[in-house]
Amino acid sequence: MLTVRNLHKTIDRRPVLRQVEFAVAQGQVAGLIGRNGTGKTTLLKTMAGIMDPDSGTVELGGRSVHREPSLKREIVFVPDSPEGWFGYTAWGCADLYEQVYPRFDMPYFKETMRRLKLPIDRNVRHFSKGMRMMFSTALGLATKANYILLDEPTNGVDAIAKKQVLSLLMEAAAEGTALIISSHLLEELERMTDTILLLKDGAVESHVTDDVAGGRVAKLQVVFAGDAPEEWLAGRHVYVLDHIGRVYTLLLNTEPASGAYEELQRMEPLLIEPLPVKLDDLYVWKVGGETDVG
Amino acid sequence: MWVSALWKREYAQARLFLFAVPIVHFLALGLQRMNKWLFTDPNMVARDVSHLRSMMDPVPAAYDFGSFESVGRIWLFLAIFVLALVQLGTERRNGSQELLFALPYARRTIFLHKWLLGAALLAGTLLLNTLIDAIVVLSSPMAPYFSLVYHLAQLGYSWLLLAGIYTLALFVGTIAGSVPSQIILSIVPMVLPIVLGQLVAYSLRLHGIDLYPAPGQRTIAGGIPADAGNRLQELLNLPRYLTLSYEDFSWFQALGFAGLIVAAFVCGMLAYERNRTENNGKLVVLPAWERAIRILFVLVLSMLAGLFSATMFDANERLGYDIGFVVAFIVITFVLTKLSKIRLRI
Repeated sequence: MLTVRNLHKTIDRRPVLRQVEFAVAQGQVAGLIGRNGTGKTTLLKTMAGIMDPDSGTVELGGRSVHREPSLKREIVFVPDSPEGWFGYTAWGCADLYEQVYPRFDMPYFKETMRRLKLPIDRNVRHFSKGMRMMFSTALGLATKANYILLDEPTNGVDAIAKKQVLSLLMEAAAEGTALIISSHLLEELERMTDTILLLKDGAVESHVTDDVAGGRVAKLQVVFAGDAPEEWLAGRHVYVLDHIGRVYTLLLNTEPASGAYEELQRMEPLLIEPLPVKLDDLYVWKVGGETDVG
Repeated sequence: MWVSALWKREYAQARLFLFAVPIVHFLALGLQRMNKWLFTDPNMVARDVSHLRSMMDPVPAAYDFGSFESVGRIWLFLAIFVLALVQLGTERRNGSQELLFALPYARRTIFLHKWLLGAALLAGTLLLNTLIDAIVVLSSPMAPYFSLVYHLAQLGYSWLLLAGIYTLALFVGTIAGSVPSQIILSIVPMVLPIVLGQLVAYSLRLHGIDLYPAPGQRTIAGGIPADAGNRLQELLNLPRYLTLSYEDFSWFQALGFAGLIVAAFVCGMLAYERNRTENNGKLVVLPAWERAIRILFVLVLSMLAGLFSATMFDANERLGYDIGFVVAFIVITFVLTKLSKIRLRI
């Protein structure tokens, strides 16, 4: 189990991570989402031991990754751009990783590079952006480490490369590799992941992907009898996703303390139709329209 | 602890140096010895040899008092200075450091491998070129004056001095956030003893504390020997040791260099362990060091400004100094506060 406990990190006097807590079990796939600049990369880099936390721990099997760097044989970080490998050929990188990671699978790496039509003897610097991401992902997965942290693996890559990267990740997940994927591709994450880690205001909220709403939010299509209740719609427990004519698509806070759903029922609308809450609804509900980190 | 992956990575990063440095060292030492004793007009060589015969202690003169070794040391100094920049400064800006820190090795181990590469490079080139030099000497007309002690002394002295400077440059690299700041902060300890001593002495003299002895005076305040300041400056003046004559070598210096290696290595390792990658690109990556360096910069530059402004107030030098000092103190503090927030991508 990879566990993050009470993690705090301040950069340039700005608190980026505040009391971050979550755990990812072996074989689990977690999607890390949040607005730009919320600290997703900082969180992944801190988990990978690249950055030191101000307080809190990242533990693998109950042992601190920062105190025992050798534990990182099971945690591999795949950055959003492999600049650190510039100057190496793809083969050179694999050769180095083979000495670092005990289960590095060279035949898998070569086969994946062949499958992705990536030249193994070319300098990584000369790869296109899409090629770099495919190479980085292949290299990270070839380590066969138990936990792979991927920072926006499909950032800036074309549709075909994106599909290839995602299929590589799905294959690895099927083999039991735990993946923590930071991405803005909510649809793909919803399909691939077991858990969603939503980073907002420096803290992480965990959601089970199959039930992102978790009883805390409802998505409803509503037709009001008469004029729409503007004041109620502008309340902090209601979010208007869409509005066509008299038909409103709303997100509602359904936690007991909110009382928004009961208020709606009291208005006796002409129609209240529940819709399935999707990940992007949750994303909009949680992070839409507000600043990210104070 | 030996980690072949780290060694391999450091080798890949500094490959050019491993080949170029011994060649440049040869051009400065072995080739120059050949030029003097093998490739010069035989009549001139014979004249030099007969001159040596007439001397009481011909060995230092036969070896030109170590001038070839001095030139070699200057080239090696430049090479290891750049190597330290490559090993620490440049890798901060291109993601290499993040890649390194993500590997399952302690930062102490990574730092140790970096240092080992530089130390081994120095040892290798010095051993190889000392051997070549010794062979050249033995096969030249100056062979009767061959001195194993001389070669070993030059080898040991050069390694200790250059390894000391290299370790110091590496240490500076662990706290500097970019290549330019590593260059500036590496030069500072080299020139600081020369500049700081004069500045402090001048500033104190203007305020009634005279550290300059009167002619014939043997001690200054507190019974301190009158030449203590000069001797201390000389002692701390690292560049001076690069060109020191063979006859001026001492065990005391060797011990001092060894102490520098140990101190800079320990400080470097501790600083590297606490490296804050999020501060890469800034002037200094460790907040405590940043404060210390800022205070030092402000003081030195304010004293310099005071010195400059004192020359413009002939009637009251002290007032001129104080005005210059205070104005510069405020301006430089403000500028450094702004500068310290800037991240450089070079």
